[in-house]
Parts: sequence; structure tokens; C-alpha cells
Amino acid sequence: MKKKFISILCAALALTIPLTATACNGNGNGGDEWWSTTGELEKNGDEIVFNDVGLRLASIVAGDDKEALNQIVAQFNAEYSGKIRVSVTTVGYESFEDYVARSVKQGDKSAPDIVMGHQSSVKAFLDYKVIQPIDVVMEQTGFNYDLNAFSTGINQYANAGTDHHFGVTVDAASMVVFYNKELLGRYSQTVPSTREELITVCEAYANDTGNVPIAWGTGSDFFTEFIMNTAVLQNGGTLYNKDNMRVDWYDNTAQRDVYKKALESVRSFVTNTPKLAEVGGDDSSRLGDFRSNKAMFYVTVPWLLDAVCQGYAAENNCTEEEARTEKLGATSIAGWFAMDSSKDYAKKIYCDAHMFNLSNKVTDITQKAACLEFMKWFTTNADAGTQWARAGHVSISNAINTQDAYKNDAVVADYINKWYPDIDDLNTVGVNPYYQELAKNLRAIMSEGLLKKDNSGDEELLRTKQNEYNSNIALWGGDF
Amino acid sequence: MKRKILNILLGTMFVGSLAGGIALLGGCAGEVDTSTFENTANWVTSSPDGKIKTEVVMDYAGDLSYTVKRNNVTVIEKSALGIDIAEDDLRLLSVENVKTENVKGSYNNVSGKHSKVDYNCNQTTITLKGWTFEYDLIVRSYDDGYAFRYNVRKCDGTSGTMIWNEEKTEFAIPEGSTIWAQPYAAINSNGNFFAYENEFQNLRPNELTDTYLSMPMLYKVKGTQVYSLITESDLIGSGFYGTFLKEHEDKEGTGILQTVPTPAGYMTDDNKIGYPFESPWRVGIVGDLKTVQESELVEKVFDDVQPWRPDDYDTLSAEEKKTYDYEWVEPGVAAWNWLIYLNISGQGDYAMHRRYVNLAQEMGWKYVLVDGGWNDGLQVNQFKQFVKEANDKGVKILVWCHSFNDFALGNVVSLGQRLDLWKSWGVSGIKIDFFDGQSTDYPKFYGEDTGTIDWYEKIYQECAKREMLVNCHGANKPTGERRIYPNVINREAIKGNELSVSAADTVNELFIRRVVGPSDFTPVVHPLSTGLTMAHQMALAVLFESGTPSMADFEYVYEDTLIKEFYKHVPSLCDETLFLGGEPDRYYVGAVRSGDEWLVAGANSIVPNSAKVSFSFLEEGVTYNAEIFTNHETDYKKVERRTAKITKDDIEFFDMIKNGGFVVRLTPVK
Repeated sequence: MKKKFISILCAALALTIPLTATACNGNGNGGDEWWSTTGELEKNGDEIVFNDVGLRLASIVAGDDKEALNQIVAQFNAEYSGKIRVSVTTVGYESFEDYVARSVKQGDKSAPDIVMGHQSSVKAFLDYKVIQPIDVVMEQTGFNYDLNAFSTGINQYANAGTDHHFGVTVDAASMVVFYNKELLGRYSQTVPSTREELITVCEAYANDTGNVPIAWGTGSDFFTEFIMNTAVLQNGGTLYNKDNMRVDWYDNTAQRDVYKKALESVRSFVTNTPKLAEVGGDDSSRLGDFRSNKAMFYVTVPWLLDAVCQGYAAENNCTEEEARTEKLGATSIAGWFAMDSSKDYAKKIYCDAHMFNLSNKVTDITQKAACLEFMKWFTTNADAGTQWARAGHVSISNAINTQDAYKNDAVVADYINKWYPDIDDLNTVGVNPYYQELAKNLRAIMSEGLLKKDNSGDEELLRTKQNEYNSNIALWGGDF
Repeated sequence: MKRKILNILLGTMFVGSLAGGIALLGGCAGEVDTSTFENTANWVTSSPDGKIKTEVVMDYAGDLSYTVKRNNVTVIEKSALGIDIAEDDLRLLSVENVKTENVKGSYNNVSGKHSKVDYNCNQTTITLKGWTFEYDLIVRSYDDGYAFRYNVRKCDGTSGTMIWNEEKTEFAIPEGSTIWAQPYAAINSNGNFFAYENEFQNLRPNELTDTYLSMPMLYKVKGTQVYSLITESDLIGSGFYGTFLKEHEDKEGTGILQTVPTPAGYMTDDNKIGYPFESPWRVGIVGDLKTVQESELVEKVFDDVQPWRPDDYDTLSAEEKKTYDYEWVEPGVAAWNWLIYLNISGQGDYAMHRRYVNLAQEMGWKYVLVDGGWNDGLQVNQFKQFVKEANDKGVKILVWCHSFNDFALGNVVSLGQRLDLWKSWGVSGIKIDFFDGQSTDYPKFYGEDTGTIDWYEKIYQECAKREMLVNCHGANKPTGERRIYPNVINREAIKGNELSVSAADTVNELFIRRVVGPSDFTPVVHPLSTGLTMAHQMALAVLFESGTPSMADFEYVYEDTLIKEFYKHVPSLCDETLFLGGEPDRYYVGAVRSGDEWLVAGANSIVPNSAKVSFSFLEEGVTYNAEIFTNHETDYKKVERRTAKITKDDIEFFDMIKNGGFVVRLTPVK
């Protein structure tokens, strides 16, 4: 008996003190190049010759999806046997940025060559000059790789606000929705696609049965961050000012209204009569209500797909396959929190994304090319993309998500593509070196706001958290 | 510098009492080319078949080193030997005695890969004397590898405690070798938790800087078919810490790995070692892949050791003495429900446990394992009734416990009291967990520090006294403990089904972890993720040897007539274990014999492979009924079954899909 519990919920959030508290302010532009290149590239025709190049990949992926990553890397190693080997080191989210920055800066031989962190870390890594531009390597090597064939909403941040391309965004993940096909079928012929439709079907079910139709664990950090930020985006808000990294959640009256709407859009499920959702608990504690056919919808993180289907099957005397294909369905939170479903931002979903970065440790040109070869393979190989999707991560690479092998996979077709119907609606935090502080305060707004019975304290809550964030980043020396 | 100068002047003389010389010559340093100086002495220990040669050299300066060759292939490049203790300067050594002998014999296993094992090696014992301490460097060469250890004592025969500064032992891996090793990585940031449950990585000797490598580790010498697996043996009871391998900071990028104290532990001041002292064996299994895979060297170094007896053994009655013949240790399959019912039902669910007792009875399995949570709010009478019912059905009960929290953080009195209580309830053994230190507050020791190694020993002994089995989880690597404690019948220290495991992991675990001792992989029937297939899981149930292999799926799964007979015959003691083919990172094929039945199994990694299996190992003149399970064409959770007649003249090809496998059950036609 042991640690299976531990890893389930710690996959995607980075929560530590921002590195940028002491970071320097290089931006990758101009003549202050901190990267260097050594060696000569050997080519056979147009192909780069790789001869047993060993690469170290530091990965933040530490949950149940870690095994999928390991298997994908093993597949790469098998396909590139004798040419390129990638070994994975997993570093917990608490210390990931520190580990990467420290080991690369110190010149540790065990420092990573490739970094697989969150997109949100790119700015900190750039400020520390521990990553280097990918486009430069492509130019030096003649490497053929379309860095723009990705979801526009997420890929826009790959340059980290510079003229260079500093990362390859791999995937996205947000809160997702399972539904009970039999229960929903009693009240609707279609899956609700707007907030209004959702509330209608939920109220009908709650009135008939007395059950709470939506199971979600508001005590989870994933819930408060993903749902709060999604609700803001779906109501037309912005998370922070991209010019100076400050927030005006209270001071700007338009933003204040958006944030109040966002809070209310979630809280109203709880305060509604009949009650449509509960406050408190975590993913696992609410899963019981869904497994026992009391809740119609279950809002959780996507990498629990197997656990949800296994749990449902065990409790309902069916096979896991039957649970996945016949009993349960998938839909997205797109539109769930939009007070006006006619707006073009109503379907936006806030998500986290994994990104590959090229470590500044790497100087040898062949090794740099090998790093790119791995990144390219991971983001263009349909089999790898499918395996990664089955672990809960939708591919944002057009080179993968346009391939039939990916699109026709049962899990991708029935779940992944239902959870994320339009990858261009996916948004991340962008390039904010203080994203951890930002996330902390946004989560607090949601968790504290949900405890209130009405909106009477919302403005004070927004003002407090806005000021806390702004004063903290000022303290850390933010000057943009 | 002074030591070098001394020996320049002393030439090839053995260094004896040199205090005066040191005083005389101090400060006379100069640049001298020492490369042409001859060694003081060298001792070659050859294996009985003459293929393996372990050569120990004392150079002109008195420094000890060794090399290992198999035929003309260098398996270990020049590597340092020696120890450094605070109480004596053991750099200044005289050779007191050299003794060579053949060590030969056999023993029977209670559980293991072979019911009977022969051992045969040549041994050189070099006695080296310092000022007040001396040690034997014992070097052995077997046909399948080498082993050496240090036996340290005070010259006057007294006992005490010494400060152990450093073990100098190195393993210099030949340049260009392919290494498969499991680097140390703390499980989380709250402690130095490491339980040997990570994947094996494919590395090169020049890629090991800043890395602690755990043992066992496997490597293949470049350009040859010679493999070597490095590990340690006879750790428990040594009073020593568990050892890792790491490049010295002066030798970064060389692939010269020095034995270093475990990074996984709690005790920071962990260098007080009692003497007289016998270090754990440093073991290198060497040969072609088949030799390495079939080797029992980790356990053979114990020779025909007497299993543990208490100090008062001679005063015990004849009846009491029978405990220490260990005939009560019964290997057998265990039915285990914790993993599969994790999110469904707790361990206080006796209806569930009774279903597993019924399963075990029907399948002919000996044990049901009741896991963590069984004693939360325990109704003692209810539990005792459950155990009695199980025992009445011929099924024994094993219970989970926390190695520290359940026994006052490592208190032997508490341990004895708790074991007495459980034994009085009819419990037959324990699955004892979290030696790695997880889920423990205020530990005195954990991981592989000396305190924990001592604690393992006490647990084994207290359980042996009560005729109780032990299965260690969250534990360190096997180091041959079942030769001393036959009741220690199973061990985790493997990335098994409790974690998300894939075929890329399991194949290398078979090649490396499986070699050194029992592996509680906890196979299920229907894989828990797409990283494995059902045929692969069935193969693992055959290939991972264990005294109490834990069958971990839903109880009703085993009722499927397609697979029921196969699972009835999963072995817990193999009379014979063979390696039939494969390569690390690719696939593994092996066979085990139990009585007159054979099970052949293959486990594939990522790339589809076709395994050629020659059945030449079967008995001459006997035709076997073969029940063959292979992957279902499209559903990874299903297998297909066919039958055939097979003799020793047959050769079959088994196509294995990605993450796939196969199993063949062979029973003689009567």
C-alpha cells in the first residue's frame, strides 16, 4: 500500500515563490546573446547524422501522466536507437523552476538539455538566461520544423515576448466534464452547449430527484484556478495587464464587473434553488456521487479518465470499456460560466500547457539539433500525440491533431476532442513572471468567494487580492 | 605527497613500520615519473572454468586496485580498493598473509529461482595489516562473476566501534559501455525517500557525473556480448549502510564509480561501524546475457550458510529448535485486493476479504494479504473470526503494517508485542512497508542508513522466532537475505503495478531487478493502463520470482475459464529458471519449471518483436500439451488461447506487439 494517492493531483500547478524575485532582466533581444554554439554538424545529404547522442530531459510531469510520458520517450528511444537517447528526470512542481535554473546556471553536468515545464515558466527561464532560442538553432542547422503549426491561443507565447522562439508548446489541459449518459438522456436529447441549457437540464433533474446534478470539488487548487480563470475569460475579462504585469480587478470598473460576474457565474450553481452543485471537497470525494449515479455531471481534471471509468465500472457492474463507451460521455466547460453566451469569448477555456525549452547548457550543435529532433518528433508523431492525449493532454500541434490516427482514436474522439472542442479557444496565463502570485490570488478569490452566500463581499475581496498581488510584485522589483 | 616519496625510495618493499621514515623524508617533494615503477604485488584469482580473472594489484605506493576480465574482455578497468577509518592509517599496509582456496558446495532454496543451487569459486584472502587494525580482502572468482569484501578487525582481537571515513572501492566501467541503471531521486521534497521504484535508464559511462546510481546496475561492454550486473550482498546484519555508486569529484566523466553511503536515509552521522566487521559483498555478475540472467551469485556468496538461530539456540528444547529449521516457511501465491479495490472498498470490508479467501482456496493459493487500513477501528473478535475461517479453509492470512509507525518508530519490544498479538490471532506473516521513510513523523532512521539496516535484521529475527513470513515493501534492494532468513520470502523495491508502470519499465526490470532476488510486482490480469497488455501481465506473473507472489486483480477475474488453470499454476518456488532470449530495452523471454510443468513467458517493450523459442530444454522423449496465450488482436485487455503439442525438438516464433507478450504452459502428456 502506498503512494498512488500522492501523485494523482499534483501534476499541473506550479506554486512556489517566483524565481523572478531575484531574476535579472535579459530579454533575448539585441546583441546580448548568452548562448553559444560549438562543434560541427555532420550531414548525410540533408539529414543530420546523430550518433548515440544522450539527452537529459527534466520534466515537471509527476502525476499519473508521468508514465505516459515515460512510455512516449521510450518509444522515441526505440525508434532512434543508436542515434539519440533521452533520459527523463522528474522534478516536483514545487522545485522545478529552481532546479532548472540552478542546475543550468551552475553548469551542472546533470543539468537538463531539454526542459519540459509549464508554458508559464518560460519568462522566468528567459530572465535567468537558462534557455536559448530554438529558431536560432534551426537557422544554424537548416532544421525543418514549422513552429507556427500550433494552437494560436497558446502558441502566441512561445516567443516569451521577444523576437525569438523560446519554446515548443506541446499540449493543454483544463477542467473537463464527464456526464452520465442515461441520466442526461432523460432530460435532454443533446448535451448542453450553453450555460442556459446547462442550468435548464440541471434544474429539471434536481427538481425531479432531489439530487445535486453537478459534482465538483471546489477545494482543489485545480478547480479554483482553472474555473476562476475560465469564468473571467468567458465573461470578457483579462487576467492582468500585459504591459506592466499589474492587475486592476477592482480599480478598473469594467474589470470589476467582469470579475463579479465570473464569481457569480460559479457561485450561482451553489446558491441556486434547487441546488445545482456543492461547495467543498476535492475531486476524489465528489467522484462517489458520480459513480453512484446521483450526479449527472462530474467536473474534474482530464488525467483521471481511467480512474473515473474504472471506479464507475466497479460500482455499476459493467466493464471499464462499457463505462467509457456506453455509460459515460464527455463535454467541455466552454460556455458554462458565460453570462452572455452570444459573445465570441464565451467559449474560452483557461488551461495550463506544457512547453519544451532548449536548455542553455547545450552548446554542441549536434546536441542542439538532437534536442530539436526530439521536440519535433513529440509534436508531430500521431502515436505519441495519441498516447499523450490519453493521459489527459490535448495536442495543440496541428501536425498531430489533423492526422486520422489521432482523430480516430476512441479516447481522443469520445473524450479529448469533446473536452476541448476548439483548441484555438484555449488560453494560458501567457508571459507573466509573477504567474504563481497571480494564480494564488485568483484561486483565493474563487475559494473565498464561493464561501459567501451572495455578492455583497465580492468587491472588497477583489480589492484586497488585487492590492496584495500588486504590492507583492512591486516588492519583488517588477518594472516593465 | 609524502606517501609517494616514501614508496619511491622503498621500491617494491612491503610497507611496514614507517613512522621514522615519514619524519625523515617529510618535505622532500619533487616531480618524479612514477609510471615506470613496478607494482609491489599482484594476485590473480581465476574462476574454476578459467574464463574470469580478478586481479588485485598493490602498486609501488601501496595503493590497492583490481581489474576483472572475462577471457580477453576487460569488464572492470583498473579500480581502487581499500578502506579508510579514523582509528588507523590503512594506506600504510603490510601484507601479512595470502591464502587461496576453492569454495564449493550446494544448498537448497525454500523459495527462489532454483530449488537446488551449486556454488563453486576460487577465493584469495589477502590479509593486510596497518598499525592497530588489519583486514582481509577476500576476492572470489566464479564462473558467472566475481565478488569481494573487507573483513576488518583490530589486531588485538578486541571489539568496538570505528569511524568509517570512506570505502575506496571503485567500479571502473569500460569506456563506451551501455549502462542500465536507476539513478537516485528522492520521491518528494520532504525527505530522502527512495525505494528502488524508478525506471532503469540507458546511460553511458561519461554521463554519470553528479548522479548517485543505485544497485543493481547492468552494463554491456562495448563491441562485445559481455554483460555485467553490479550489486551488493549480505547487507542485512553487516551493521553497514546501503551503498550507492557515484563518480568522485576528481573523476567526473570517467565512468569510475565509487561506493558511497546511501543518499536515502535520515541519519546524518552514519559512519560508526562496529568491529570486527564483515563488509557486504561487492558483487559483479559477468557473462553473456544468459549467464547473467540465470545467475544466483547474489545468494551464492553465502555458501552453505546456516540460517539464523538465536544466541540461546543451544538451550532450546528440541521442539523449539524446529523453528530454526524453517520448514514451516511455505511459499505460495497470495490473493491481494488492496490495489484493485483502492477506490471502491476499504480493508475493513470482510465480505471482500472472504471472497478472496474463497478465491485462494479454489485456486490452491496459500495466502490472502490484508493491507493497510485493516486495523483502523478494528473489531478484534470479528477479525479473529475471519482469520479462523480462512485458516480452516487452508488459507493463511498476512497483514500489512508500517515499519515504523506500528512499532514505536523502531522499537524491538513494541515489535515483539505486536507480532505476538497478531500471531495469537492466527496471522501467518506481515507485509511491512515504508522503510523508505514515507508517512513517518520523527523517525530515528529510515531508508538505507545503518539504523534501518539493523532494524530490518531485528524484524526478520522477531518474525522468525514466531514462525511468521516477511514481505518488505517500500524497501531497499534484495541483498540475499533469504539465505540467512528463509522467512523473508518477498520484497518490493521494484516499480510494480502499485505505480503506473509500462512495458518500457518492466522489460528492464526483468533484466536487472529480477536477477537479484524476489520481486513483488503484484501482477494483475487486466492491465491498469495501456502501457501494458494482458498477455504481458500474464508473462510477468511467471517471470518475476517471489515466495508469495501477490495476485492483484478483482477476484471474479480469475474465474474466467480461459485463464483460470494458468493462474492456478503460477509458481512460488521454481525448480529451474531459464533465460531464453531478448535484450534490455527490447524484450525478455524466460522459462520456469515447477515439478514436471514448464511455463514459458515473453514480455515485450515498445517495438514489436518476434521471439524465437527453442524448446530444447524440455525432457527428452516427452510430449507436452501446450496452452498458448497471446495478445488479442485489438483489445489490450484480452488474450487469445490456442493449444498445441510440443517436444524438445520444436522451435516456435512468437510475434509480440507493442507492450505485448505471451505465455505457454507446458504439461507432459500422461
